[in-house]
Amino acid sequence: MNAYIEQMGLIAPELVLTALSLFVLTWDLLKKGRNSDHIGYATLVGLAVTGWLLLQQWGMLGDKGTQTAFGMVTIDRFGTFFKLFTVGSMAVVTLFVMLDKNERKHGIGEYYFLLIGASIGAFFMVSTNNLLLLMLGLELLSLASYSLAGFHKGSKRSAEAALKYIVFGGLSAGVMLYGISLLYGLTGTLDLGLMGHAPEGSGAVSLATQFDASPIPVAIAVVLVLAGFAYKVSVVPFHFWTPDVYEGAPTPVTTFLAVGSKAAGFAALLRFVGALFLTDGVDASIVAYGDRIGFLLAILAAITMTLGNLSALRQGSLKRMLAYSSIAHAGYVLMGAASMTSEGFAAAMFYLAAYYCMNLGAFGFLIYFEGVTGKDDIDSLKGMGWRHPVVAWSMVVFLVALTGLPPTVGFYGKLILFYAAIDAGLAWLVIIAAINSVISLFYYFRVAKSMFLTEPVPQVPMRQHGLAGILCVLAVVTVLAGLGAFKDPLRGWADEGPASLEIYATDAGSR
Amino acid sequence: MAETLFYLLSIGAIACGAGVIRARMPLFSVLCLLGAFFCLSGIYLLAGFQFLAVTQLLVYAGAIMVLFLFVIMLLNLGDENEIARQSGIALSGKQLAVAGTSAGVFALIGVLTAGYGIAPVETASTRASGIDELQTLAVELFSRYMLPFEAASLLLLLTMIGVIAIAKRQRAGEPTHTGAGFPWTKEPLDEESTL
Amino acid sequence: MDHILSWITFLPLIGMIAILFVPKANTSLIKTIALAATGLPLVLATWLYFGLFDKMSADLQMVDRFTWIAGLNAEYYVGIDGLSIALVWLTALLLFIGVPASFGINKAQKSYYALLLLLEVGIFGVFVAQDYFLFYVFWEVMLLPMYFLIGIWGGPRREYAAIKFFLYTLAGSVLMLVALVALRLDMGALIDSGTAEVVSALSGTEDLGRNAYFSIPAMTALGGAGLLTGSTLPFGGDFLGMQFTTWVFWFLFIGFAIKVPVFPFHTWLPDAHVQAPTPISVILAGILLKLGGYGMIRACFPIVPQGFDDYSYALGVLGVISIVYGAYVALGQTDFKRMVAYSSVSHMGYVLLGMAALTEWGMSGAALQMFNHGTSAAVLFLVVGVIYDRAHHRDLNGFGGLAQVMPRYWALTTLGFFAALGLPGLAGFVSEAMTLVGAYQSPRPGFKLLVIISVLGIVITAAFLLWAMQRVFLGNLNPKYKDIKDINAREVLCQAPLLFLCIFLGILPHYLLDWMRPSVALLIQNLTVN
Repeated sequence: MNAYIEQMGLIAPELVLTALSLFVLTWDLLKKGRNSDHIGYATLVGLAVTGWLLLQQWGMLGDKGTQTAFGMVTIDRFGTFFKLFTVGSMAVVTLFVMLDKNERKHGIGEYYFLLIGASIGAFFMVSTNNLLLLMLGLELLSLASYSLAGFHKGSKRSAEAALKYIVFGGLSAGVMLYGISLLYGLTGTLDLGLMGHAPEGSGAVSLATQFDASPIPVAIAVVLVLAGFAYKVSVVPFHFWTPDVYEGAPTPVTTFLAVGSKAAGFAALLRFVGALFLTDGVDASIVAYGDRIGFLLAILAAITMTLGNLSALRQGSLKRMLAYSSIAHAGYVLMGAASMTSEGFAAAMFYLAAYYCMNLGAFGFLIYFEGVTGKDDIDSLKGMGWRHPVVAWSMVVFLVALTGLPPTVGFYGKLILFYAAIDAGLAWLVIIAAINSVISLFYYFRVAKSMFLTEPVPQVPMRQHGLAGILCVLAVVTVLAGLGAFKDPLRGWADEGPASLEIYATDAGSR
Repeated sequence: MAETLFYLLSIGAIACGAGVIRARMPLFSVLCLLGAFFCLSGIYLLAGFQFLAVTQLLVYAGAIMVLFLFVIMLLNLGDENEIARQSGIALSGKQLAVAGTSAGVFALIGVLTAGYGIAPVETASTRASGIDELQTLAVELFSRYMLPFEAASLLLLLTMIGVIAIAKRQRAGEPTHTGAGFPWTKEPLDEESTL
Repeated sequence: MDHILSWITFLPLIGMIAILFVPKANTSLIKTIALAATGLPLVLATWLYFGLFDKMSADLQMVDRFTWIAGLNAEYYVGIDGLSIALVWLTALLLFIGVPASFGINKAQKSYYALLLLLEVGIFGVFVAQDYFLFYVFWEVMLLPMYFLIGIWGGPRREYAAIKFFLYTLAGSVLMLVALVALRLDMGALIDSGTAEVVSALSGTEDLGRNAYFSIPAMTALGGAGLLTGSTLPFGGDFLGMQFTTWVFWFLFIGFAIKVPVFPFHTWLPDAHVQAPTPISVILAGILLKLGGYGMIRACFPIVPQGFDDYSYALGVLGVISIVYGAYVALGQTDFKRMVAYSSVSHMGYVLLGMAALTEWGMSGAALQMFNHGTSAAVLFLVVGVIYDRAHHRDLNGFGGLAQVMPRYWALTTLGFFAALGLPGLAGFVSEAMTLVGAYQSPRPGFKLLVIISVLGIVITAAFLLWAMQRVFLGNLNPKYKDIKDINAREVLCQAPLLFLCIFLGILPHYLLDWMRPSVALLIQNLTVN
C-alpha cells in the first residue's frame, strides 16, 4: 500500500480534479436552488490549482516520461501538454457556462460536475499507455458528454442530440473494445509499450512478432481501435453524429466537445499510433506496416477535410457550420498523424493549440450572438459588425485564423503541418489541404459578410461585457501567437511532447 | 466437444443480441439480453473462468436484468413506435446502418493494408494465468488495477449523476430551451455601437 | 537614418492604432491622422529615393534584419533595391492621394481609414520584405482590408465582388504557400548539408553562415546556381512526372499571375474594380496589380530560373493574349469603369511580355511600365470617379458633349487618356516602346511574332479610348447634364501629381531607369541559365 501512496504525487492533478468534482457535487446539494455561479468560481479555482500543479510537473519532467500507479499512468510531456490543454479549455468553457445568457443561473451544479468528470476522463485518456485505463477514460469522457449534450431537457434538439450521441458513441466504443480485445489476445498485454516492443521475460508477445506470423488479425485489431478514435475525433466516415450533436447540445458543451474532447481523442490516437509503430525498438516489418497505416490516415484526412468543408458550405446555421468546420479541422490535424514522424506529431499538437484559440473564440462568439438574438443562423448576424464592433472584429480574427491566413496562429499551425506532411512525402495531401483552405474561406467569410457587408436589421443591442472581454483576449492571443509571440511555450511544448513519446523520426527518404 | 459448444454458445449470443435490437416489445428485448448473458457466461466457463461466469450470472442476469424488468413493468412500456411517438424523437436507422457499415468497411481496409496471406493465429498466453482464483483476482484488482478500479467507480458515479440530471423533473419557472423567444432579450434598446 | 524601411512600413500601422482610439464622430481628426500617417511615409520615401539610396549599386540597401521566428528560421528581413524603390515611392504617393480622394465617403469613416492604413502596411511590407515568410505574411495581410474596403464601401454588387476578389487571390496564394513550404524544406536541407557548392553559391551574399532558410536572396543565389531542385525532398526532385522546379515555378507564377492579372485569371478584376469605391479602385489598379509583376521578378523567376527558361515563351504568349484580349474586351464595354479595368489587363500584359523576353530593354521596360501604369490607371479611375460622383452612373452612352460644360475636366481626362494609350512624349509611350523593342530584340525564337501581334493591342487601345472620349465629351450636349459642375480643386489636386508624373517620365524616363539599371542587369544575369 505504501508503494501506492508514494506514487500518488505524480497523479496529484487527477486527484485534485476528482476532489474538486466531489466538492462541487456536495456543495451543490447543500446550496440547492440558489445561484450556481459560486460553483462556477469554485471550479475555476480548482482548475487553476490543477493547472499550476501541471506546470510544476512539466518543469520536473525530463525528456523521458515516468510511469506510476503500477505502470497504469504514464507521466510525460506529451500527456502533460494535453492535460494543460484540457484544463485550459475547461476553464474557458466554465466561463462560457457562467456567461451564457441562455443558461439557467440556478441548480446547474451538475453541469459543472459533469464537465469536471469529462476532464478527468480526458486526463486518463491522454496519460496512459494502458488500453484498459484508456478505455475507462474514454468512457468517462463520453458518458459525461452524453449527459451534457442532453442537459437542456426541455429542448427536443438537445434530447435528440444526447440520444444520437449515446447510440453512436456506444457503437464506437463497442468497435474499439473489440479491437482492444483482439490486441490483448494477440499480445497478452494491454500495455502499448509492451505491444510495440516486448522484452524477453515480460510474458507478452510484441505486435511485430504476431504481424510477421499473421498480419491480418493484427491489421483488423489496429484498424478497429483506430475506428474508435476516428469516431471520437469525428473523422469521415465516422462523423455522422457530429453535426446533430453539436447543434443540439448546449453551446458551451458543444465548445467542450469540439475542443477538449477532440484534443483528448487525438492525444490517444497519436499515442496509440506512436507506441505501436514509431517507438525505438519496434521491428522493421511493423514500421513498414505503420507507413501503410499512415497512408490510410492520409486518405482519411483528405476525405475528412474535403467533405467537412463542402458540407459546411451549405449550412445556414452558424452552429452547424462550426460543427462541419470542426470536422474539416480534424482532417487537418490528421495530416500530422498521417506523417508518421515526430515532426508530424508535433505539428498536430501545435495545430491543436492553434485550434484551441480560434475555435474557443468562434464558439464564444456564437454564445454571445445567441445571447443577443436567441438565434443561431448566419442571416440573423446582419449588422452585428456595426452594433457590436469589438466582438465582431474579434470574430473576424477567428475566422481569419480558421481559414489559415497570416498573421494568426491558424496560419502558423497550418504551415508547420504542411512542412511535416511534405517532409513525409505527402505533397499531394498538402495540395488538397491548401485547396480546402480556399473552400473554407467561402463559408467562413459568409459570417463576416453578414456582419459587415449587409445592412443591419433591427435587433437588440444588448451587451455582454464579460464574454466580449474573453473574446478580445482570445483574439489578441490568436494574432500574437501568429506573429510568433508565444513561440517558446507553444512551439517548444509541442516539440517536446512527441519527443517524450520516444518516437524516432523515420527516414523519410526510404518511403 | 468444447469447440462445438463454443460455436453453439457464440451463435446463441449473437442471435440473442440481434433479438435485443429486433424485438418490438421492450420485454422481449430484455429477455433476449438475458439469453445473451447466459450464453456469454457459458463461454466464460468453457474458457475456465468460473468466477467470472458466476459473477456474470449473479450480477447481470440476476440483479440488473430484474431491475430492467421491474422498470418496464412499472412504466408499462409498450411498442417501440409508441415510445418514439411519445418522446417525439426518432433516430435515423439509416445513419446508424451507414456508421456500422463504415466500421466494417474500415476493418476490410485494414485487411487490405496488411496485404498478404492468412496464417493461424497464435494467441499469447495471458499473463495473469491465475486470474480465476478469487484471491489472485482480488490482489490484482486492489494493487495493479486499483487506479482503473477507482476510475470505474468514478464512472459509475458520473453516470448516475448524469442520468439524474437528465431525468429529474424541471421546476416551474425554469426556461424550457425550445430554441427561441428568450425572455431576457426583451431588454430596453441600448445606444448604437461606438464604431 | 536607421530602420527607414521599417518606419515607412509601420507608420501607417501606428496611424491605424491611433484612429482606433478616436471617437467615431470626430471625423476631421480621423482624416487628419490618416493624412499624416500616409504623408509621413511619402516624405520618408522621397528622401529615400533622392537622398539615401545609392543608385549605382545593385545590392540590397537599407537592410533591417533580425531573427523573428526561430523555430521556422524565419527572419524579419527588409531591404530595397532598384526593382522595388520606385514602387515603394509610388505606393506612398497613391495612398497619400487616396486619403483626400476618400473625403467624399461618409459611411463608417473610422473603419474605412483604419482599413486603408492597414492595407498600406501590407503593400509596403510586400515591397520591402526579403524573407519569404515575411513576404507571404504581408501578402496575405493585404487581402483582409481589401475585402472589407470593397465589401462595405463598394457598389451594389459589392458582396459578390469582394468575395470573388478574396477567393481568387487566396487560391493563388495557397499555391504559393505549398511551393514556399517545399522550397523552405529544400533550402533547409541544402544549407544544413553545407556542401562546397552551396557555400560557393552563397559566398557572395550575406546569407552565408546564417541559417536563413526563407531568405529570398539566399533562394535566388541557390536557385541561380541550379541547386534548388528539390533533390533533398522525399520525392527527390521529381513529383508526379514533372520536375520540382516546374511545379514550383507554376505554383508561384499562378499565385502572382492572379494578382497581375494575366489572361485566364483576370475575371475577378473587372468585378472588383467596378464595385470598389473610387479611391480603392485607384489603389487596386495603381499598386495591387504591380504586386503581381513585382512578385514575379523578386520571388518567382530568380528562384527557379530553370522553370522560367523552360516556359518563357508561354509567358510571352500569355502576355500577348492579355494585351490583345484586354483591349478587345474593353472595346465592347459600355461601363466606363469596366472599360478602364479591362484596359489594365491589357497594359499589364506588356509587363509580362517584357519580362519574358529577358533582354535589358524588355525588363527595364516592364519595370517602367508597372510604374507608368500605376500613374495613368490611377488617373483614369479618378476621372471615372469624378463623373460618377456627379451623374451617379457610368454608362458611356449616357453622356455626350460634356466638353462644353466641363472644359477643365475634359482637358485632364484627355491628358490621362493620351498617357494611357501611349502617345509619344508621355510616359506610357516610353515604357510600351521599350518592352516591345526589348521583346523584339530577344534572341529567343518566336518573340518577334509576339511583338507583331501585340501591336494590334496598341491600335485597339487607342480605338476604345478615343471612342470613349467621343461618346462622353464630344457631340451634342445631353440636356440632363447641362448644369453639371466642373471638376473641383480637391479632385484636380488628386490628379495633378499623377498627370505631372505622366508627362515628366515621358520626357525624362531616366529618373526611373537610372535607379533600376544595376538591379535589372543583375536580375537578367540571375535569370540567364547557363
